[in-house]
Amino acid sequence: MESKTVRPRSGLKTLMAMWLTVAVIPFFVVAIAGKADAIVGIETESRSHWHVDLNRFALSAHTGFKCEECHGTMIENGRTHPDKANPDFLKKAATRSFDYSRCQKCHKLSYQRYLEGEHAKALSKEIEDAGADGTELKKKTPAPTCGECHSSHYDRSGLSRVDVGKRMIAVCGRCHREQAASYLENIHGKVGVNLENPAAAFCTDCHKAHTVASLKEPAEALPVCRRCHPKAEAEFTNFVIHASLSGLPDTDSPKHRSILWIQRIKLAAIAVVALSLIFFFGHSLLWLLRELHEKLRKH
Amino acid sequence: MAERPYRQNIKIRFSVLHRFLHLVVMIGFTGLAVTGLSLGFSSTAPARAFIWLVGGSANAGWLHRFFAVITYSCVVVHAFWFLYYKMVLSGKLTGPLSIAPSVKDLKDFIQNLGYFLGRREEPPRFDKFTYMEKLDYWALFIGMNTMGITGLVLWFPEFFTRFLPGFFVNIAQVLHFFEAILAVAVKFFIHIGLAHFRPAVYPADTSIFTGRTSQEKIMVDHPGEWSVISESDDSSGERASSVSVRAS
Repeated sequence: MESKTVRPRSGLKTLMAMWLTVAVIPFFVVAIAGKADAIVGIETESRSHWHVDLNRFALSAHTGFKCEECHGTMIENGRTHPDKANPDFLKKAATRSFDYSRCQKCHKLSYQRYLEGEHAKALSKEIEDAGADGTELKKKTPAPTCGECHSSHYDRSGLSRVDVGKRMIAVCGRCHREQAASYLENIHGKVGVNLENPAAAFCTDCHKAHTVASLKEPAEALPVCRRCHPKAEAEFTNFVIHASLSGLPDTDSPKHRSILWIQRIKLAAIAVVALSLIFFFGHSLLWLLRELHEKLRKH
Repeated sequence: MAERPYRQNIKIRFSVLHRFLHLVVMIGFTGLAVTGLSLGFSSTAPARAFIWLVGGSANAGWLHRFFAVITYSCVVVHAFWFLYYKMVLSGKLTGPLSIAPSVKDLKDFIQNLGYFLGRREEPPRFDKFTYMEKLDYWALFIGMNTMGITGLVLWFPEFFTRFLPGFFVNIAQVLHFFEAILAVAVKFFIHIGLAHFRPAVYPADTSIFTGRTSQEKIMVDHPGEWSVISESDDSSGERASSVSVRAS
């Protein structure tokens, strides 16, 4: 016993050394593997098209419907099919020429809400601008009809809340790209879309499915926030969920100023973190090298 | 030294309270880091795997708050310990045996840089706690308070927006996130690296868990502390001479 001098508890020491070494490896694996993107996994059905894949239609929510229940018969309204009087008919996008008021036969409430909402307003403005003849618009993201968001031939029913929420990132994000990105940076998007928590708020939980409220006014937003945060007061609505300037048209709003402050503080935080890490890592690396030198030169 | 019985070489470096607090903070901080980073980097595969493991983001959030409470309570306990130490035990909160920052730390730092670059043959004569150990301690003590403030804003946004602007919650998120990155990088790499992986201490320094260190280690690594201890010791003359032999 007496010959055993300075090293107390060498068993614990070995154990700790093993544990520390083993713990460092997974840390690097985690750090390197952290590239997977949550959005990659989201698949949406293609939008309506003249050609219908009946195999996929058979799996959709509308399966079992006869074509004419939605499209009418070929001789309806005195037209013939193909329409010789209007040969360019087939060159128009199906989602622009279909009469979506037919949807309200089954989806009455949704259609009424759509008519009250921002999307319908955008559509009627677009039609006004295009002229009475209904000239085809060359816009990349046209104002939405039902078919721009919903694929009537392929969309399935019975999706879970999380699945619907994830699809909305892709569907709404087709036009509202900045908002989808900023939502995913926010805790609501992280928890809902990335971590698949059904209790999180997805696009339509705040903006509503068919009325698509912009929620620019605090008075309009507060009842929406209170659905999950019942104790929220008016100032709570100034929490910025879509903290991105590029999606914001008006540059003099309080929201704009808030986002500017958020971005400034973010930059300052990055600078402080970077400088601190340079100091700590540089200093400690030098220390390590110096002690290594002490060991090596004694050999 | 060999004829001296084994036990006489052992010195107590950390009291039971300090060992216990370190253990709880170690577990609490690791728990905070794992749950917090999983929520922060939620789009990455490891994060989603971990969240799946704990049964969803709500559970991860609950665990994060649980670890926050136990880690912060260690800060509170240690603040009370300072008070007790000063008031009841009439201990000194400054000086070479204390964790309090001093001008000597700055001198030690500059001397240590000189040592790194080969301008000095010897490392500085550290007191009981080196400037890096003090930084480690105070970074956590102060950092837990700032993380606690931003964390509380994120925990109770409804309450805090009654008297703060709403976008302060966003700012709390930004600060909480970046301070977490800094804290995790410093604790998991710098603290563990310098405390255990430095060639002088590799493979591990068990003193924070056992409380014990050897007299030789104090003489070499903390000569400033040793000169204070040995002065108040009866057989100081003999030991002090062995210091000079070892240190030279």
